[in-house]
Amino acid sequence: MSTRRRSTGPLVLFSGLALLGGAFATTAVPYGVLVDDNRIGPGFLPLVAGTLLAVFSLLLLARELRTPTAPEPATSGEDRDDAGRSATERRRILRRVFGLLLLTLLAVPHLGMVLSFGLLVLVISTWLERRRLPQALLMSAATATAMHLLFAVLLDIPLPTGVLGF
Amino acid sequence: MIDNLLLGAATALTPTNLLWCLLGVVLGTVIGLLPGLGSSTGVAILIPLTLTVEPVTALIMLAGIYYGSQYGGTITSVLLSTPGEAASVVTTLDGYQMARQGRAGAALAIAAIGSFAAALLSLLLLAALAPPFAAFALRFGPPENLAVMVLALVTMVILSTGSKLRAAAMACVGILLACVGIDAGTGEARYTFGSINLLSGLPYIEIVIGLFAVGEVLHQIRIGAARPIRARFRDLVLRRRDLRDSTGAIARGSTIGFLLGTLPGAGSTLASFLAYGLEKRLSRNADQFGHGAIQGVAAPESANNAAANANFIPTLTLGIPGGATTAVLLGAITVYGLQPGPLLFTEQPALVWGLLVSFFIGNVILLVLNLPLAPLFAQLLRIPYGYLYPIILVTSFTGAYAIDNNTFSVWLVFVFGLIGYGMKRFALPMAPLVVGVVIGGLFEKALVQSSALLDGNLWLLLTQPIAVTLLALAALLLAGPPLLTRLRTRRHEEDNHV
Repeated sequence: MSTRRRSTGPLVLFSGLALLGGAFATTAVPYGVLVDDNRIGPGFLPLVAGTLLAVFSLLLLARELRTPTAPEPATSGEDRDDAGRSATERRRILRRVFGLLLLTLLAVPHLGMVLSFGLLVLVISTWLERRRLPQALLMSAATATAMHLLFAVLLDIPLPTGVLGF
Repeated sequence: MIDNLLLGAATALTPTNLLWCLLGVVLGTVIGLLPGLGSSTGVAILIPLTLTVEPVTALIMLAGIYYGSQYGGTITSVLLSTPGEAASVVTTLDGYQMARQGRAGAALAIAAIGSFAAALLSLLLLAALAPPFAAFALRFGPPENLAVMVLALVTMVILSTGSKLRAAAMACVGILLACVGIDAGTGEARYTFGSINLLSGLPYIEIVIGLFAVGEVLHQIRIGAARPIRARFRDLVLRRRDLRDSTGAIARGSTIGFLLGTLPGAGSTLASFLAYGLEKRLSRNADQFGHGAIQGVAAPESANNAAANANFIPTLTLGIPGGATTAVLLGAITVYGLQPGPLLFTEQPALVWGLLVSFFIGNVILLVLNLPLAPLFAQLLRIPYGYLYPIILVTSFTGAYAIDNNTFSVWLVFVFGLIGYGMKRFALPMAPLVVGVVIGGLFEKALVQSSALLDGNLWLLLTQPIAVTLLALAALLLAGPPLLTRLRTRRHEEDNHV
C-alpha cells in the first residue's frame, strides 16, 4: 500500500536559500549601499541579489507547498542498476564516498596528496566496489603513479608531501 | 575576412596545434561519453594541464574538448538514452528509438554529418560577423556593458529549459558568490570572514570543478549505471533517403543554433529544443517524431553544434559567456593572462583566428574519427562506473590544487561538490549559477562605473541608445512569453465561449 507524504527536502532547501538571501541582504547594508553623491556602494549588489534570492526562494517554497503530495513508492529497494545495486545500496555507497573524501582531504597534510588519493582509490576499490586486493592495489598504484608523473614531474607542480616525503 | 582566415589557418595548422586539437577532440569525445563528465567539467579539470603551453594551443585544445564532448554526448543519448550533455537531451527522443530499431549507427552518422555541416556554416558566419561585432563593441562603455550583462542574465534565465524561477534563484546565488572578496571600488573586504584565501574572491574554476565533476560523480553513484545498446560498424551506412530527409533539418537546425548562440547567456540547449520543435512542426510525418525520425536527430545535433560555435561571439567580443562551458573557457582565457573583449581581435588576431579556424579543423577530425569509429568509442560505455569515478575524483581534486598550488582550492572543490550534488538532487540548474559567478564581478564593476559616470542616477541609462535597446530586448524577453501565454489563454477561452 502506498502512503502520501510530502518530501521535506525541497522545503528545507528553499527555506535555506531564502535565509541565505536574507542574510546576504541584511549584512550588505553595513558595507554601504550608496556612497558619496548617490553612487553605488559595495553593499548595493549583495543587497539586491540577496533580496531577489530570498523572494524567488519564498515563491518556490510557496509553489512547493501548493503542489499536491505524491504517493510514496511502495518499495525503494527494487530499483536495481546495471551493477545489480539497489537504491538503498547506492545511497550507502554515496554516504561512504562522501566520508572517504572528507578523510582523504584531512589526510593530505599528513600523508601527502599522492599517497592520500592513492589510498582513496584503494579503499573505494576494495571496500565499496568489492574488487580483489591485487586488482585494487594495481589500480591504486597506477592512479598514484600517473598523478605523480603528470602533475609533479610533467607539470612541475609541487604537490603537498607528507611524512613519507612524497 | 580571407586574410583573417588565412592567418587563422597558419596558426591552427602548425603541427603542435594540430596535435593538441586532435587530443582535444578525442578527449572531448571520451569525456562527453563518460557518465559524470561533460564539456564544462572536462574543460575545467584539464585547464591545469594546459598551463605550460602557448595560450592559443591551450584554447584550441579546450575548445576541441567543448565540441568533441558534444559528439560524445550524442553517443550516450543514442545508445543509452542518457544525454552526456544538456544540449543532447532532445536527441534521446528519436536517437534512442532509432537505436532500438537497430539504426544506432545511422543516428550517430547523421549526428556527425549534421554537426560537421553546422560547424562549416557557423565558421563562415563567425568569420563574417565576429569582426564587425567586435568593432561595434569597442563603442561600449560601462552603461552598455551593464545592459549586455543584464541581457545575458535575463536570457540565461528565460531560455533555461526547466523552471525559470529556479534558474533566477541560481543566477542570484552566482552573483552573491561573486560578491565575496575585496570590493574593486572601495577596497573593502566583503563576506571573507577573516580568511586571507577569500580576499581575492571565490575562484570559479574550482567552483566549476566542484559543481560539475564532483557533484556529478556523487549524483551518478546515487542513480546507478544503465546498460548501453550495442552499435555495429555495418549500421553506420546511411541510406540515400536518410540524407535527403535530413538536409533541410540540418540547414534549419544550424541556422537556429547560430542565431541563438550569438545571444549572450543563451547556451546551446535551447537551440537544440527549438530546432527539434520547428522540425516537428514542419514535418509531414510529425507523428514519426519520438519514434525514430532521423530529422529528430539531425536538427538538434546541428543546432547545438552551431550554437556552441556561435557562443564564442559574445564570449570573445564582449567577454560575456554564452553558456556554462564558455564561462569556464572565459576563466581559462584570464588564467592565461589574456583579457577577453573587443580588443582581443585587434591585439591577439593570431589567437582569435587560430581558435576560430581550429573549430573547422576539429570538426573535420571529429567527422573522420567518428564516422568509422563511433562503435569503438561506444565500447567505452561498457567500462563499469566503479572504475571511473575514483579516477575522476582524483583528477578533479589534484587538478584544482594545480591551478593555484593551494589546498584551499581542494576544500572549495569538496564544498562545491556537495552543493553540486544537492543541486542535481533538487533539479536546480547549474549554468545560471556559473554564469552568475563569472559575470558577477564584471557586472558590479559596470554598475559602479555607470553610477559614477551618470552621477549616481542609473535612470540616465535610458538615455543611452545602445543600452536602452539592449534593456528593451531584455524586458521583451522577460515580458513576452507570459503575455503571449495570457493572450493565447484568452483567445482559447473566447473560442470556447463561441
